[in-house]
Amino acid sequence: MCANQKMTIALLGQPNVGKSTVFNMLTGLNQHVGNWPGKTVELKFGRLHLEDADINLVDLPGIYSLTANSEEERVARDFIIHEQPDMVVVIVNASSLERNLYLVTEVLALDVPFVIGLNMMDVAEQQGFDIDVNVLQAALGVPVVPLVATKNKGLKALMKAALDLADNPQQFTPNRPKLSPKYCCVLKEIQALIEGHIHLNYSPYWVSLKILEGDREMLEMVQQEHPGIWDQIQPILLQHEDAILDITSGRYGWIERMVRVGMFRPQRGSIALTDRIDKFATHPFWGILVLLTVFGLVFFLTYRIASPIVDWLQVRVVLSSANWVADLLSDSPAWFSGLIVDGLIGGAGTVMTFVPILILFFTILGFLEDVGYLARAAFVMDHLMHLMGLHGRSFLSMFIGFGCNVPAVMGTRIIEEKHAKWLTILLIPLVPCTARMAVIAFLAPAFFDYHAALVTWLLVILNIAILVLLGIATNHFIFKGVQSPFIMEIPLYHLPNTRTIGLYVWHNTLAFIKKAGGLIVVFSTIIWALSWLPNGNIHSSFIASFGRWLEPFGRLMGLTDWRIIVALFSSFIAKENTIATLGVLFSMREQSVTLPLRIASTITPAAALSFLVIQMLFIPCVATMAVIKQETNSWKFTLFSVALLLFISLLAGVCVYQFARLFGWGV
Amino acid sequence: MAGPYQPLTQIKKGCKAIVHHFTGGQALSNRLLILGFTKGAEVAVQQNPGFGPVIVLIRNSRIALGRGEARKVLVEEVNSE
Repeated sequence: MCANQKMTIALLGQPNVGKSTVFNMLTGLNQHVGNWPGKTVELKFGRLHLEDADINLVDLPGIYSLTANSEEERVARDFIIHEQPDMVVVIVNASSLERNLYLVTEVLALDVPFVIGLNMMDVAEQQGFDIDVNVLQAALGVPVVPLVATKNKGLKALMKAALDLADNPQQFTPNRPKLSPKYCCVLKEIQALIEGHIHLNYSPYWVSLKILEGDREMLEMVQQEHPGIWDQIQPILLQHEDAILDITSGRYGWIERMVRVGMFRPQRGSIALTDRIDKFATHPFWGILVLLTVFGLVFFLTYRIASPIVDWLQVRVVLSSANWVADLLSDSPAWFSGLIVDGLIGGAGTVMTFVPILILFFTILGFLEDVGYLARAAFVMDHLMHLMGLHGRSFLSMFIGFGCNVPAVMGTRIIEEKHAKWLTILLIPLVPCTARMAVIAFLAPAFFDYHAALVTWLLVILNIAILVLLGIATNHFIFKGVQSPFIMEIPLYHLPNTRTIGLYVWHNTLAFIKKAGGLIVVFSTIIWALSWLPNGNIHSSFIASFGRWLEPFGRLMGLTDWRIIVALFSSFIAKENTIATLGVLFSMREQSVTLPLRIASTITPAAALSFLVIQMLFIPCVATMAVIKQETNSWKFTLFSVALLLFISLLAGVCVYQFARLFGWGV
Repeated sequence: MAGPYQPLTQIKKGCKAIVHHFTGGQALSNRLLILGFTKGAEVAVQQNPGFGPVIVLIRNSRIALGRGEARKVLVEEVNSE
């Protein structure tokens, strides 16, 4: 081995095997995230130094197989086939050995050398499984290294085994499942047809096998690039439509033989702790109570911990730095100090106020995911979500939206299917976040007196009703009722790992600040500029002209005052800004205590109702918009969702106003 | 009456069954096969309240299936001693 050898090692594994723990333990903070261009699947890249080697560790997505059913699977296998890492390490969960070995059989078919990291040995032992690693290794013909990643055991040995094999690939002599004789000839036929016509990186045997299995990407590849060959292959496939059944059965048969040799099973009869907890957590009735309690705690903790920090930040940091800078710039032109203080610091200030909320949410979310509870929560809500063509995981994201839409959108990463993820992201802005609720809470009492609570409750119900209707409609018309099957693995509960959670919080918060933060600052500056130009007076600014221009339309909704219209649009920066803008526009340096009453005296009850409805349904704030773009990687979709919400809110405003007028509230 | 095969949804909690075949589309059956629901595999029903999803233990993993999905898995019940 030469000094400072550079190696790329890819980590592969099914979900819930502790692959992330392995990755985090080995790379610590030396990691960053990357996207395949044009795809939303993330790869994690990290670096570690071991003896003489500089290792680039790549964490591939957690996948059950290497068939092209999902973007994750395609990205993972494309990486192995086209990027050709020096070594592949497959992480296997010892307490779920049989099913995990399926992925191993897929990698065996790819004919690349690899080592197996047999993780969670402690969990397997607890369950009574006795695995003889040496016997397993001999039976498989693949190096097997036992690990307990959470306790940092075996990881060095794993990397060394990987480096050793990379240096001596000829030592790789695995045992492989044999294809049933029934298909041997068929496979040879297909292989003969495609030989010489496929990309060099692909092994003809593997491609033929995938074609026989009905792999969509391989089938499309042949169909599009070699239609002549496709015409010959198609009849063969039609004759063997059930090949996939036999092939998977064959693989599992082989797995069973391997496992029988190397593993001793416990006697049945002992109920795992997981099952005991799940008696309640996944119970059709108790499960929902548990879920509500857990989420109640989430909000409770947020208000108790994050809110005071947010307030402290707003006053001690943002406000005081704004004043301090304003003093510094008191000699410079008004537009400059305005730009810096109101535009930039105002913009950056918005970002700062989100961070404590995000940190707290990510910590709690990370904890619940690590412990294994989130799977149960998704399971419990699945039935309700099905109505919208969504699954339980979507509910989790949407529920977070009650606190703040920003982490809710970021949390949609846990949703696997793309269309479900995008539909959820589309619907999340309809979940009334605390900022929106704050505006309502501020204005409703002045507008509606003792009816304020009822009106607020109805507004929330209206939001949710529209959310459900939109979800059902979108799923029905746009996704044509596409339902991905509800199949979900429910992992064992396990003790939380501080390092995993810490890295999770760090990585996600940083990602928000970097990507979304920039956009927020830019937009805040633009809005400030519009409220300043052309001559520094907000009442004659572009944004005021914009507001006045909209007045005729506003009349349909009862909003005849340009100041109210402008305040509505300023909620684009942050929902709470509505109040701030109203304060500026209606001000004569009066206390905000009387602000709601002053506004109330200028509009009719019907108009007030319409204003609140629109405020609740209005376009997402710029931070939400920024993370929508970040999560979907599509300006088209982001702008579409903004336009859609604009349309829905205005339509609702018009309907509510006209309807309320019928009741004589327009006087 | 149909053969000895019934939909998984009819197997009660605490009972075991052997997977035989699937009805319905390929998307579902492919995913099930990959997760180990091959012909002859044993499933133990952990939860089946009569509505909503079913949870089974298969190859020592807990897998939850939606009701519609579970209905498409045809199994033969195993009588316990």
